[in-house]
Amino acid sequence: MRILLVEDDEDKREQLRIFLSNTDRNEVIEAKSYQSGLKKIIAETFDLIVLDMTMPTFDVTPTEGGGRPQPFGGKELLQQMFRRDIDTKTIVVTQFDQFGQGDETTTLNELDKLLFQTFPGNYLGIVPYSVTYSGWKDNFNRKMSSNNLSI
Amino acid sequence: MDTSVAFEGANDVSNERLQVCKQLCDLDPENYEIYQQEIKEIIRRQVISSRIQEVDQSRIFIDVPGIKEWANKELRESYLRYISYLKHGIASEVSNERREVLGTGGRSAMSVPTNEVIALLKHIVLELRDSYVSADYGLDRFLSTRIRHGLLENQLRRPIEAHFLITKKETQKGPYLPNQYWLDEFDTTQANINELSKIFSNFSESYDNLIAKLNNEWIQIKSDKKANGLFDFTMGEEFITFMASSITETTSFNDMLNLVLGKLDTNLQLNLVYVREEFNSKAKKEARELLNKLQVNISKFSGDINLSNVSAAISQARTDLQATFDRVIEWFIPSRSGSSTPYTVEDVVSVAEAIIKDGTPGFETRLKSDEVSEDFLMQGSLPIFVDILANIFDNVVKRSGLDVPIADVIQWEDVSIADLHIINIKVTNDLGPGIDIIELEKELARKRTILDTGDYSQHLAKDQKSGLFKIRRSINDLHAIGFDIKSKMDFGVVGRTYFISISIPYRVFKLETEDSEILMDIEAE
Repeated sequence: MRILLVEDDEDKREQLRIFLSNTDRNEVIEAKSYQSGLKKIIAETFDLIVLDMTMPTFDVTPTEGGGRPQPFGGKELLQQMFRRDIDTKTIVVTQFDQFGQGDETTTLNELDKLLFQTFPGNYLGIVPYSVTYSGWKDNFNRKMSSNNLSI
Repeated sequence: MDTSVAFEGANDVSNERLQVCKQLCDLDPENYEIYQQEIKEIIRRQVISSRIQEVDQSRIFIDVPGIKEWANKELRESYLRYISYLKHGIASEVSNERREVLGTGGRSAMSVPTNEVIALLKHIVLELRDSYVSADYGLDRFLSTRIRHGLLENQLRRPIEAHFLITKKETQKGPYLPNQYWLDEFDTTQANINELSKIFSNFSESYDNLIAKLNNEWIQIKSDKKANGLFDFTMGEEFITFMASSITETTSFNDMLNLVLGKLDTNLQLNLVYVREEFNSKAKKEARELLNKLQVNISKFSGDINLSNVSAAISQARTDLQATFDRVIEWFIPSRSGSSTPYTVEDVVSVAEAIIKDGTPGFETRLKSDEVSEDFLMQGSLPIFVDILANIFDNVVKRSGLDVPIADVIQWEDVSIADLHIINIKVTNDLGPGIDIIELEKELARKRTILDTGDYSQHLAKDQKSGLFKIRRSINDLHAIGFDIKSKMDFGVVGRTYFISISIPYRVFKLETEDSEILMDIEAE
């Protein structure tokens, strides 16, 4: 399975990469921002996409600040895929349980519902991630198996 | 615009915005002033960003001309004596013996005779090594001024402070202030609040201890006192052996200097690779684990308290922290060569302000320019000039006792001698009610006495407080060759206002621009 992982947090990216590459069959390709994720989604073909929700616009480097933070970067990427008729199965893995600020604030459940409604063809669900427990792995596997997929 | 795949980075987006604003100036003349203001702001941000990058790439620095000047005075005579020994064949037996030993191969088999000739060479080489790492001209001066003096602490605290996860100590040796920001958000029992307060305090202490370890143990020249220093310039006998075999009767003093300094440069580069690895694999991991531990400790209260916001803050701080570490790691590269592009005092103030604001967003400067020539540009020594003002501004933040520290900066020029300008900069700041003026005046008087003697080099590396010794040392580097006028510094307290003023002589070069206007290009040498 060819998996694209879009995640800006180094530690979480590493944990997900280890989890997703648990078999030799999987190849995990990484992107660290909205832009680098979008460029890979457009240019390459994947069997599964694993997205963070909140991310910087560009890859953060010592000389690149990352541009504007994208509180709904994962949703924007799903939107871009929809526009381009890319229907790769996608799971969102996030550390937050609410997103945006002020009037834009959305809870994890509200966002999950909205994404199911907007992208029913390829959106598989949200997995809450935490450094304090590993239950997110079972949750991830459940989301996959309920869609007849496995990693 | 920034979500279009047409752009490669934030700078690309900013350039595009600049072009759009320029077009709009023509297309929508009614709002010309608004577009001009935006253009000015974008350019200002780009200039500051590029200058900060220049300064960041110059943090690891050795004042090689300074070392050579010192060596010329202190070591030339010894070196000539060494060459004289070689010419008289006194060392030839040593040479033969050395070759014989080297011929057997094996590093451990090398041994250098400890006769007077080799002892003399060893003395020269080790003196040069000591100067290379010294707090006067060498590495330790720049590690101290450009990294250890508050900057590393500001940088590494910033991503944690931005999410209100760390507090400061009540006093230098006192306990940490309670984390009122988060404690006020928790609707729970007093017993829980007390527990949570302890968790936040422990985190603050552990995180500050990590920064202190990096500053006081890692970013140090390795020595008996600094056994964990990552900059290891311990020179084994093989180094002396190599020098003895490389120097012949015809090797000039300057060639010998270049040879030794070249080897030290190579050693520095190896050290920098090691420092980067240690920061990446150990320090960054340790900082991340402290945040993980904080999250685990707080999550124990998840049954009683809504921890959603604080958990999100910790997660975001962890992501931001990793990016900050990556930026800090990039400081540890050999200094870029060549002089900076021309700059103004305003540029220096903006860059130094931006560096301090990075750690203390509330800090502000108010710059006033009196009698400054238009098109007045300086060339060279930008990092040293930034060191001086960043040190001064850091003092305003740390020692003014004010919650919102503001520095008033006045600059003016004296043009009394042809081809020489004196740039004067005076920085003043109010002192908060908690500052004991009498104690402060006593401390300043003590430092002034030391500075007046001119013998303050032993205070440079240890100067963790006001940085006055470091500022004085940096100002000394800004002098105009060919003129007797020296740079000056004054400081003191008037009422409840602290001031520091500096005067720097610059040699003036006048350049004709294309449209025949006079542009003054001023060089610090």
